Amino acid sequence: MKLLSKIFAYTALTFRESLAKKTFVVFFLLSTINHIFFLLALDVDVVDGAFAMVQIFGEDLRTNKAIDLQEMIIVVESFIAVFFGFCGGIFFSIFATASLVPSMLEKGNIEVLISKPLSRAQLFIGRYLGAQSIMVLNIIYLIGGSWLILSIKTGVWYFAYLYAIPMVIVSFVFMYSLMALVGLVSRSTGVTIMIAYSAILFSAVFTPNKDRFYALLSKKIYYFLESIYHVLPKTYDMGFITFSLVGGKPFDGWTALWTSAIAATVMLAVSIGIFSKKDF
Amino acid sequence: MLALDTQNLTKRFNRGKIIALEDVTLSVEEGIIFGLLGPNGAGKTTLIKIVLGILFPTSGSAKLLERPINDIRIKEKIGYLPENHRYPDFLKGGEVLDYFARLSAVGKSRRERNKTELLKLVNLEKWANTRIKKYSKGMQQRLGLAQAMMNDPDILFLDEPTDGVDPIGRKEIREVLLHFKEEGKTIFLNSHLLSEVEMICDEVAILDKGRLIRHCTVKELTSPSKTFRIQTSKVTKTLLAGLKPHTIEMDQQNSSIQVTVASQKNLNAIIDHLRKNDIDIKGVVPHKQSLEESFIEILKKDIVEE
Repeated sequence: MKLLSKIFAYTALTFRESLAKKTFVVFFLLSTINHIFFLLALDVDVVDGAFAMVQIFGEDLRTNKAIDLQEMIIVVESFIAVFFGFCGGIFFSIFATASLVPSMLEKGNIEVLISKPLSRAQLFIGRYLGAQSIMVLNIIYLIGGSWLILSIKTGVWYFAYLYAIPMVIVSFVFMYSLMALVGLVSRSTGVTIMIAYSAILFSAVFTPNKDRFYALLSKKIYYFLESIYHVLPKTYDMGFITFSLVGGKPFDGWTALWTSAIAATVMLAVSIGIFSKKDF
Repeated sequence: MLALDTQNLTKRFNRGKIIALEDVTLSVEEGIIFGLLGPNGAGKTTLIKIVLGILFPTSGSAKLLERPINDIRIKEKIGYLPENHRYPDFLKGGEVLDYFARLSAVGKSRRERNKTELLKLVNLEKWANTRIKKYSKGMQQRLGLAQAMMNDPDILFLDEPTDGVDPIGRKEIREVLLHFKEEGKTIFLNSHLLSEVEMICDEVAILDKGRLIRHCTVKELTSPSKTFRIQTSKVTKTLLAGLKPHTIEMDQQNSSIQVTVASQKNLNAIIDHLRKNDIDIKGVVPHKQSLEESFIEILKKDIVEE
């Protein structure tokens, strides 16, 4: 109990730091702008259970007039869940949390922290949880809020949309394992952000084009890229699973999730190992 | 009980190329103020950091309050003020104390009580609700000292606690430390201000190039030496020649003579000689060596021995 209270004290301090650096607030504001966008831009008129009109900034979205309300909602909300919830959520979360590990390691700060009766592993986990708490609250607000607005506007309460919340949270937890490791080794916020986006870019380029890479590259290089793919968070796959879950479509299974979970656990363990042995 | 006990503590950096601490064996009894002295890079901060688990020793071992330093629980009894500390500047003074005490699992009521008492003690009670980025260096030091004491520690490690503090603030900090010592607690003080160390420390260790070259009481280093300044009515060359056999070293300045003697018997012989020659003796003042003088002397001797 005493141990948990110490870890949570550091988690709370991390959360407070995010508030003070305004990263939490800016994330919150951007989510609010996103909500306002849907509130103002989406103009829906439902008559007898079917869309009489669906417009975004005055442009009619319906390409097939025969499309029914439920189908339309699923298409629109799957799109919104992936592009605004998943991509936007991960994008903002990276910026909101990238500085947390490097700032913990700043000279004059880390010495005081280590002198406290917490093990280094507990300190690192406290920081890790602090970063997650910042992200979780904002993701719930971003996705939950947009779901609420869409539901009120359309009158259709499509609960599958909410699958995006745990999917974004889990995807970011995986991504943050990589960010924490990079932040610990480099002690640089800039480097942490660059590596995080490079990992996303790699996932987005490599995953859907594996066959092409296999055909074009030498086997050595391909297997090297394949190894990197397994080590890094599989953000593209996670986005695809989210899209499928929200859209009620079939997908290839949960392999990407559990392999990412294993890779993230290993990365977190390595980070704790390095942090526990490092001289400050 | 020993507050600190180190055995052959060694720390090397850069794959052994840089020796920060070499074979330091040191025992310090609890309830005293202990000064760590040495020039820059002597290994003072390294020693403190190893003891607090911030650095890992290359070899050797250390105990705090007779428990190994890798026992996390021992840190509940320790307070630390690092040199150039950086508390999160978005926090207010009172919040710094509160957050860091929570990391030491200090209960809420104890935190509130200690916060009020310590802010008063370091003269910051009016600044408790001001963000620390508005604090002066001296105020930050005093806040750091209060932070280090929030968990009612038995041992305080202070690395340059008066750095950037004005003379009045320094005096206040000294009073706080003496008050802490009166409660039977131990203080390790790492300071460049030797006059300050001399004023409050009971024992000192002098480190140079990572080695412990002296561990003794401050009294031992500052006790009156066998050098005396004799103020006389007049001094002549013949007179000085007559004194020489009784002295180890002799120096003349106007009508006063500074002599270093081997024993009290020699000093008496010098006085007898002066009186026999009808010289008035206006005063015989024993020369008390300051800690600074002793410190420099010891370091010089260490360089020569090398």
